[in-house]
Amino acid sequence: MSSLPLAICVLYLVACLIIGILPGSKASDSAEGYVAGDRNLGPLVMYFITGATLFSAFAFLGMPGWAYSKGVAACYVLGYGILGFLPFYFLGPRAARVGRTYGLVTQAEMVARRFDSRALAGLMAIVSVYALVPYVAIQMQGAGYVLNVVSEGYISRDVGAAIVYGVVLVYVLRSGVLGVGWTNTFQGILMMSMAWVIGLYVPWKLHGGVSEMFTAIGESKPELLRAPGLLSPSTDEGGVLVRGGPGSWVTYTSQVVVSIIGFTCWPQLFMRAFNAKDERTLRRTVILYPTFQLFLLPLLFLGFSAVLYALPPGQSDQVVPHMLTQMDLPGIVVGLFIAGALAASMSSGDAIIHTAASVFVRDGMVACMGAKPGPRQERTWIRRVILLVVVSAYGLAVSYKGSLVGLLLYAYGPIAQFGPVLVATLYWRGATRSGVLAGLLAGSATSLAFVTVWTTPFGLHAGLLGLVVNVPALLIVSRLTRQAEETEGEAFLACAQTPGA
Amino acid sequence: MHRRAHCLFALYVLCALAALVWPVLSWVGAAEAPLIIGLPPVVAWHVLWIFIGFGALFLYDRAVHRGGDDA
Repeated sequence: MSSLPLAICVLYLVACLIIGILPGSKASDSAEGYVAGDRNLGPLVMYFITGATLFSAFAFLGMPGWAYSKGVAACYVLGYGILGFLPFYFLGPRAARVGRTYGLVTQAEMVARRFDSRALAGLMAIVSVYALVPYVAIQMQGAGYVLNVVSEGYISRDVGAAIVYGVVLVYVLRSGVLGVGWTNTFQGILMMSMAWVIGLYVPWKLHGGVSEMFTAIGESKPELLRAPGLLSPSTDEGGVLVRGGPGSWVTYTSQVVVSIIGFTCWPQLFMRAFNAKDERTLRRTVILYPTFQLFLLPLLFLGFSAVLYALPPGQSDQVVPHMLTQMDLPGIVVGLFIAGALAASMSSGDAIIHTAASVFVRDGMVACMGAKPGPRQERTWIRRVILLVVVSAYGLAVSYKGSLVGLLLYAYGPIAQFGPVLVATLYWRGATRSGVLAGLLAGSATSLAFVTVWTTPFGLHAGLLGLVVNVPALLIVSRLTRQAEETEGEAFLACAQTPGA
Repeated sequence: MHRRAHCLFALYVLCALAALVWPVLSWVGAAEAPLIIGLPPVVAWHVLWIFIGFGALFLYDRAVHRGGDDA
């Protein structure tokens, strides 16, 4: 392989650095400017910041890996995406209204304000950071892996992750959400175009086209094209990947349902409600979101194109870089795809790092512990916590050796527990502080217990079991405590319901 | 007018949810053939629902908000 792909990656990283640093002077010095971009992000940046945040290293590496090893089980990503962003169409504008009125910039702040509860802010901050750090680690693993491949092993995975996230660190520290927004716009355009070009080119080169590829797979390995796909693969003694048996409908269905509920609840996504210029921008972002969904298709094709490839990779997540480097493709094609994969990793990683630090300071230190920093001091705190988040995620990335998709599914469980809380906060007059706290505590603890201690029955997703406990706890405890905790949320809900408030 | 739009949209959400999980998906995805626009049935099914989802939300937004900020 020539040095051209590596040169393209270096150029791409320099471009990100410049694009990310430049907007830093445009926002105000306050935490609101740093975290919420002074609530002034227009349709273009909102579209890309949302789409690019959601499609990560997992989309470029994990999903083709699933298609290769588990077949149409990878369609679960398309499945949950179809409905997953829908709740934001309703919750987003309401959150934006109360955010503008009360000066809120995170979802935990919003919940804590409605229920006047420091404990809720603290609990949501803990759950958020617990789920977000592994998510950043996924992005770092992906970035490290592609640099390792493109340098033909000269740059180790750990050093590769450090280089890429060194660049991210510089522009996030300097520019906050505006740096994230403008780099995401650049990265979104790059990764969408690269996905389509490579995703159609590789099946054509190997099989003569997408249709021919699926015909060939259908004749030799039809089980890969039948829902719900296959179980997780293993590797034999020679390090060769061995596909699993037929997949479980219980697992597939519960993954889709939990992911639909958890999708909108990711703090890095929900916080976009506080960044948008107006409600129309928010709603249009949700309506246009399927254009990002379609970009997953060529990545699915890429994964399937490797099924009949003569030199299979050892691990499913390695399938795309492995093929691209083995196929004797032009250096520019490999370089641009690798830059696209880096863009996918960075566009999610930067937003999540920024969100995790904002949540830690605004929800953990200010809302929960009652610290009262000035606007500039708060911004300084957030920057320090950004460093802490990057170091923690890096530690996890270099020590965790499992599948990228597995790590993502693990993170979805606790985040999905925010779903009932957000709906109750913005819609339900009868919800009480104790009810929301009980639901969140019970749901998170259940989900965590089924991930770490017990095995879930029938292969159900742990997050779904958490929700089964969460929702009744919220309803019952709210009903029992309604008289004692006379709600102060009337003005809050009135504000949430009034368009343009 | 809005009530009808809300009801139709709720109906779409229920249909979409049913279409994307067991048992409906098990009927659609039971076989690897025939290919539909060059895609296996289960992949083509998801692509179809992406377009239906876009159309449903676009029409709902037009009906309820008329493309503006007013609810």
